Amino acid sequence: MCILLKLRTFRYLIKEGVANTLRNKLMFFASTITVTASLIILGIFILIGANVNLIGKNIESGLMIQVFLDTEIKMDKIDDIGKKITNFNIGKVSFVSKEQAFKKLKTMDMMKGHERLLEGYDEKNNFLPPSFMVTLSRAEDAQRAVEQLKTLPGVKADDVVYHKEVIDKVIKMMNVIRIVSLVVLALLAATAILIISNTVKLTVFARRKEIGIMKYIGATDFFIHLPFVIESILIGAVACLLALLVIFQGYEAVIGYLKVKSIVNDIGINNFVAFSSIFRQLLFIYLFIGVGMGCIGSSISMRKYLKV
Amino acid sequence: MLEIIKRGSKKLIDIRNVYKTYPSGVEALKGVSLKIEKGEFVFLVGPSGSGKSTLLKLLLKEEDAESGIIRVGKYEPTSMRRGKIPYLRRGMGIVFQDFRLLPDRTVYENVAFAMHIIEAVPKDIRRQVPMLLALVGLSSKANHYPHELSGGEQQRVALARALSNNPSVLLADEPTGNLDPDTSLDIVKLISDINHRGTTVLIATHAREIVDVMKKRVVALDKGKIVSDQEKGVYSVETENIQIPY
Repeated sequence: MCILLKLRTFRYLIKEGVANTLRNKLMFFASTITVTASLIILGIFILIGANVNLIGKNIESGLMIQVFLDTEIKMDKIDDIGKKITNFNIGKVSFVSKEQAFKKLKTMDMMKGHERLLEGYDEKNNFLPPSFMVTLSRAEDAQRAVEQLKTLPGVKADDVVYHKEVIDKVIKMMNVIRIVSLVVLALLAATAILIISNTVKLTVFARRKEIGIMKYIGATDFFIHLPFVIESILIGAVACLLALLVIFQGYEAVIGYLKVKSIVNDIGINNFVAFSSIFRQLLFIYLFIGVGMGCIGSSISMRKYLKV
Repeated sequence: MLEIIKRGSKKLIDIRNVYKTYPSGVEALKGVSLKIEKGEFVFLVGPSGSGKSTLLKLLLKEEDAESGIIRVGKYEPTSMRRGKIPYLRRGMGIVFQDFRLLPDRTVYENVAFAMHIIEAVPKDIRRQVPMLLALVGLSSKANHYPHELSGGEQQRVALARALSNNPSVLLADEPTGNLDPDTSLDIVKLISDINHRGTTVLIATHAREIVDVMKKRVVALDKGKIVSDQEKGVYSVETENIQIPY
């Protein structure tokens, strides 16, 4: 329709939008608080989800597959196999030589009191085979990785060692966590969108008479609409800012508390998602839901009252 | 006679054989034809439900006619697109029984708002709004809010707003319906002044005393039909006509 307004009219309408928030202070306050609250709830779950994911990743990255090589294998062949494993692109690859393996065995807890068993052996001369340790980047890859590693020349099926049950359990757990957190987030996002569009609907409803009056004195739909859009943008922007502030302060406080109480070390969690690393996504989601949905909501709910 | 011919050439509102039935089945207008010339002052009278308001709604294109043709100046509400409605309405000043002022804006802002709608230059707005407020005698209340004014004063603001865009026609739907008799007469006299300045006026009303005092053209509607149309008419004659069974 007639969007070709003069620049001064645009300026007037933007001013109108800002002035409307002051004319309807209570409504502005109420809707901003509502939107802020739903964004905060959504934010809390986004942060919980991100941390659960991080914990899962840490567990996953602890999963290892060990490939034992022949005891008498030549150095150049070892290099060859190492390169091949790296090319499989399944995770970090590190080589454990006979010497390193012996050192490790000697320091293991289970050898305490049984030192005599190793008598007569030393780092140069021992029965331990050299091996490659593959630290998987993704637990789901375990099965494929094992199959691939078994195809290596000079590596027998028995030489590829891993904890199948542990890996399977971790994969299952991670899948459940991912699905649950996705469902919860989707539900919360939908709820937030509903609450926000409903809030905007209320601000439009409260002024449906005014919209009618404006139409009667010859205002175009766009002329009436623009100040409402400005108003929803303001509500959304203020709510985003407030929600980010609350979430940030709250998150830092909770993490600080957990670290001080050293609860975290007891349950094996040693790091958290830094707020700064998730800030951008959070801001994007907030702006999309808080500002975007507000604008769309106001457009949809206005249509009814513009038909006079 | 010469007068009539001259006026006939300056037709502003032309309604021809218009029918309107609401979805509820109520037949509001049953073949209404009415011509109003530029500069006329017309009272549209009749009992509640006679179709007065419906006729005004059709002129505003708030409702669409079922059949028939309506012309208002260069616009044809019967066939125009919805998107053009604002431009049709800008050519009219509209006054309602319930004033319909924007409650959260001052008197000044209410009048200025209508001028912003037609994208008037701010300088013109600053010059014209005080003039309009002076015309309706409300210069001293420019910064008051509608709820701080009496009914008569609110209707004056509505009049100032209606006139802000120099409309060719002023439509008023029961403009005195919420006002006491003295105030009502003041408002109608003000409208009459406006008419003398060249604005065509069409007032739907059932305020008998005022119609009788003003001695203007009176068009009487009953049950969706025009039952009389008299120059310098009075309300009572039409009502008598209506009540005589024929």
